Amino acid sequence: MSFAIDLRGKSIYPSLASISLTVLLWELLSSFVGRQYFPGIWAVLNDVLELLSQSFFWQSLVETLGILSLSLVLGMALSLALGVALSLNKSFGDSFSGLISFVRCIPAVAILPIFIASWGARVTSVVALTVLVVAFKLVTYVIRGFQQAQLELLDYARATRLSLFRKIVAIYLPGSLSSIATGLRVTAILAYGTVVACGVAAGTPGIGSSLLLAEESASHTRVFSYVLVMGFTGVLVNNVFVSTQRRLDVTRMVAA
Amino acid sequence: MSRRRKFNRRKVYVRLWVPIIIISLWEFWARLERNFFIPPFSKVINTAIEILDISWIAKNLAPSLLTILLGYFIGVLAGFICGCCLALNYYSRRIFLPMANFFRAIPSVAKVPVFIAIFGLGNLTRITTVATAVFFVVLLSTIEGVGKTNSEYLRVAQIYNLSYWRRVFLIRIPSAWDEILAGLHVAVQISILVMVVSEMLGSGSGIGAFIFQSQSTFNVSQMWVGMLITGILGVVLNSLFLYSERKLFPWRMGFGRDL
Repeated sequence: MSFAIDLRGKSIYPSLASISLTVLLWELLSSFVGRQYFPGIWAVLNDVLELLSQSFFWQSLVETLGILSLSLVLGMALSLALGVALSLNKSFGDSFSGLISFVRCIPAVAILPIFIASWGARVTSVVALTVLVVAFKLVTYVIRGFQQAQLELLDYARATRLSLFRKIVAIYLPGSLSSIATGLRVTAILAYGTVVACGVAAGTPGIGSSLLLAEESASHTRVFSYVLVMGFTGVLVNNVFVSTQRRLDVTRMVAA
Repeated sequence: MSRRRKFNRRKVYVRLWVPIIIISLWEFWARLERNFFIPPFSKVINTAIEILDISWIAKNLAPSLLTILLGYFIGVLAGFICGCCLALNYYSRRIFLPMANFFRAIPSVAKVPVFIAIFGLGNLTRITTVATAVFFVVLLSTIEGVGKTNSEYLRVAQIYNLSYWRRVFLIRIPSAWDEILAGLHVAVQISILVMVVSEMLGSGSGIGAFIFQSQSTFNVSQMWVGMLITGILGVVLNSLFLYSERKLFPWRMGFGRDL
């Protein structure tokens, strides 16, 4: 019976049932809606295989992941700078909290036209918008992490007259790592959605614009293939950040 | 009481100076630079005063609000019911959860062309898109909340010999409110985003369509009006959610929750 156990020691039958059920539901929906609008799963999987052999697909995927990584790095740097300033200076924090709440409520796609109008449908527009999305979301987690700094450690820092920089590096940042990692996981998915949304809504470089192109040429099978690939990429991005978060939590527990 | 009012007023003043400085800088910079795409703030306000009337609200704001309200309500109801069912049954969770995780990982915006292909252009596509986006968020937060009930509560229920359904309705669901409300809050923000995109791509009415048409016709001031109204709509819906949450579940309002 050992073949029926996966790597985590769980039975594989529920996973097999999940896949079978997805295939069944897809085929039922496809025959109900009509295959010209909702292609069958085998046609879509065949098209995905064909897509995987084309260089422009890989180019757009690499572009999407490149934009995502760059935006995450820049957004994280901006949110750290903002978070440090807002949490260590109370009046500064009070002054900006209303503005941050306001900006966070504005959907990224609503302000996309400004970036498109200013820089065109280029990488710069997507990166700028995604950096803003990441920074304004992640800054909340940075502030929460800083608020969780242990009072005993802060008393110790005050007693030993640590400089502000050393306090940030030695006490605040290590204490807020877990919160920042959670924020990064949440914002990574949000940022991925933003990069795709920019492509779908404005034709900026990446996998979103390929989907838009397929939709405009009424190639429904290709549209479904891209959606499927986007799902797999989303799962991949999520898993990378979930495992990073777990590792950081384990490291923190060992260090504690 | 008066001390409390004085404190709140101070807080409002402190929060107001940054937006005032930003708006002033925007006004001066736009007048100096004369950038076509960034009109002065006063011009945007004038345009807003010119175009905002009953017919504009009926054509653009009302369809958007209807989409959000209907989509959100359907998504929350379906997500909560399915989430409870999956959380309470181990095998159904193991079968359906990977599927749900996969469909949640597909960006909501990417699902719009699929819904357009199935339902065509119109209200049904927009409402379905918002409902689907909300559904997955609420589903997963409900599963997480109901599935992780404190074991001590369950032990107490066992001691009191509570029936299965009483355990579900008196212990498991109430103890999951924290996660469910967090999901509902995220769903509010996601529903606005999805509403705007579905309107941009698949309809002739709504704020998203208004922004898209203004951008296409290079009517920059109108585009800015659309964006500001979307932002204000986001803030109003978010504040409404936080207000009702504060009234219904006061114990949830911890430090830093308003940021």
